[in-house]
Amino acid sequence: MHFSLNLRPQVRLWKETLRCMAVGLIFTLSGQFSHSIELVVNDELPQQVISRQELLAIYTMRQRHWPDGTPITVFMLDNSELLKQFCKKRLKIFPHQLRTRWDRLVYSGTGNAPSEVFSEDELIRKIANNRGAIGFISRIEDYDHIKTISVR
Amino acid sequence: MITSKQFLYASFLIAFGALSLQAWAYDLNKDWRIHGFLAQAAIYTDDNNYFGPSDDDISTEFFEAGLALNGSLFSDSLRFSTQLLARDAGANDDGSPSFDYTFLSYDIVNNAQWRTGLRLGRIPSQMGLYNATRDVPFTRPGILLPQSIYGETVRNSRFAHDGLQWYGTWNFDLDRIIWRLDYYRPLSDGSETDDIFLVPLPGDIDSEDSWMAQVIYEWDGGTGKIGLTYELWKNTYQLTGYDLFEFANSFQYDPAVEALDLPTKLRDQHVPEIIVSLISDELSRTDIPISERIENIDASIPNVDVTALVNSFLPTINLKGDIDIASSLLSAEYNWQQLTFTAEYMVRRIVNKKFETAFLNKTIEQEAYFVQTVYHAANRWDLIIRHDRFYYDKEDLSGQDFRKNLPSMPQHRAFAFDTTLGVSYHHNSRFMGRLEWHHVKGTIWLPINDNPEILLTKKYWNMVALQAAYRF
Repeated sequence: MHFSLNLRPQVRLWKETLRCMAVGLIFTLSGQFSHSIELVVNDELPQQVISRQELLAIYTMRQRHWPDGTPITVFMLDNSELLKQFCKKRLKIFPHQLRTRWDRLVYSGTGNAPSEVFSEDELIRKIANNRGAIGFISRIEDYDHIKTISVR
Repeated sequence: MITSKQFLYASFLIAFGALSLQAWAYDLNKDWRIHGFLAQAAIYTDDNNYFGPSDDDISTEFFEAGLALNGSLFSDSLRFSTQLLARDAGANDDGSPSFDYTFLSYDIVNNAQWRTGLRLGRIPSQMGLYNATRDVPFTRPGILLPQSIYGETVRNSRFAHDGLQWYGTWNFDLDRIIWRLDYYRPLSDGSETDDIFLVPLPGDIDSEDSWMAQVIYEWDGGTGKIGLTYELWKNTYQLTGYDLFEFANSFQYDPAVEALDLPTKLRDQHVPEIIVSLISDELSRTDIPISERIENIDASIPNVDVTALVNSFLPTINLKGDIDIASSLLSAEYNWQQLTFTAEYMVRRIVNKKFETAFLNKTIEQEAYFVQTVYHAANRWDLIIRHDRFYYDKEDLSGQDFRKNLPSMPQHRAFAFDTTLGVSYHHNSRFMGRLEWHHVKGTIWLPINDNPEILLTKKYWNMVALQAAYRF
């Protein structure tokens, strides 16, 4: 008993240290893995906001035209971490669900998956050159012919 | 010498290689796309053969490669899709490429709420959750689909069908209802119809126009779904005395030829001795089936119609009836962040009807189901656990009656319980590796082509399979 009384402040100190380390670690990790996600479209599109429902319809490839009749083209960066964040924050469904949906469409011949691109620059270029294009990126600067669109 | 099959196969691989150097899905232009996949498996079984000689050995006779093309014609409403598939699956498939599906799809209405239209051509059969994409490793949860419902033994006639489909989707909030109605002519394969009955049947089974309907309700963006599929696959059956004669002679020895004693009967009819001996020589060959022997005789002796002659000595049998194969399949799936739970339950009624002999008009109800959980462990790893059951006759779960009625079959061919554990590793969106273990009790879904001596198969067996897959 006598022994343990002496140890108590030390235990508290250890706990405090561990808690600080854990919080620090979470901050570090989240800084590393959590991208900011911006949804971007070609700036000729009149639309400024989009509902989650509409976004889901676009990304599950069932809505193929914008309300003004422009055909939609979905471009996607080949980056599973970014896709995961996008699914979590914007679509609110799980990435494995979305991939399964695309695979079933593609391989039953009844639809297509988004067009894959291999860099953000390519993605930005494709969206800038295509009136009906939509995509998501992790950084946003001032690009020509591109605007961000918010999810309602 | 290169056969045309090898040539086709080689061109297929060259085209595949050339295309895969391009992007994931090769965009021909804005709208046309080419996709492809390639997978090779190695299979070990401690007993029985699955996809080639795997019994206590390693079989590599499971290979899948596909090239798919789709795009719009004239307008966005009219689309064309096709897939060329090369598949080796033990004795069931030999790897030669063929068109799996080829169809036109026309959207009559397509807006945010509704989509409906028609498909025409060779259409993938949308049975349950997996059938339409059953040959693509990336759309399956494991190397093998649950064999109770997606059995290999009926794959070739069940994968796709020629006909017309009315499809539709109704979206509301984050939910949707999907439906499909198909009217079609099945791609029948006589030997596969045999596999449904588990024994080779004498006579002819011809598939007739059939239909299929599917309704799926999905909620919360597809987080959960339940579905119902119903299919009525119609066949007519006819058996003549000649079919029985042919059937009896398809075995090692020729009891029916001996019983018929054609030479004596021909001599009684005063057929010249030289022709009788020609005929009896040809008849006693054992290297070709009786139907071919009779064709040869018919061809070499133009004045004698041997088929008619044989028929005149055979008992008059003309057994006719319908065989309807009606499948009802209930499907359910639910997704959590790291789990996907799937279950399907099927009852397949095999209804013999319109036979004049009353006792032939009977019905068998087969029962099949599985429950499956996929754990998405981390970005790249999936673990799967599944239990799958299939009963030949749900009124005879142990197979006792089955054994009594079909003495040429082991009792354990009346059922199969399969417990599967597996792991998938997704290296990136293109490469995937899989390993799985099946512990099986029963042999109902063992392909008979891989196990011709079915009585020698074992009731308890294990299978370990490894697969590498690539796609673009």
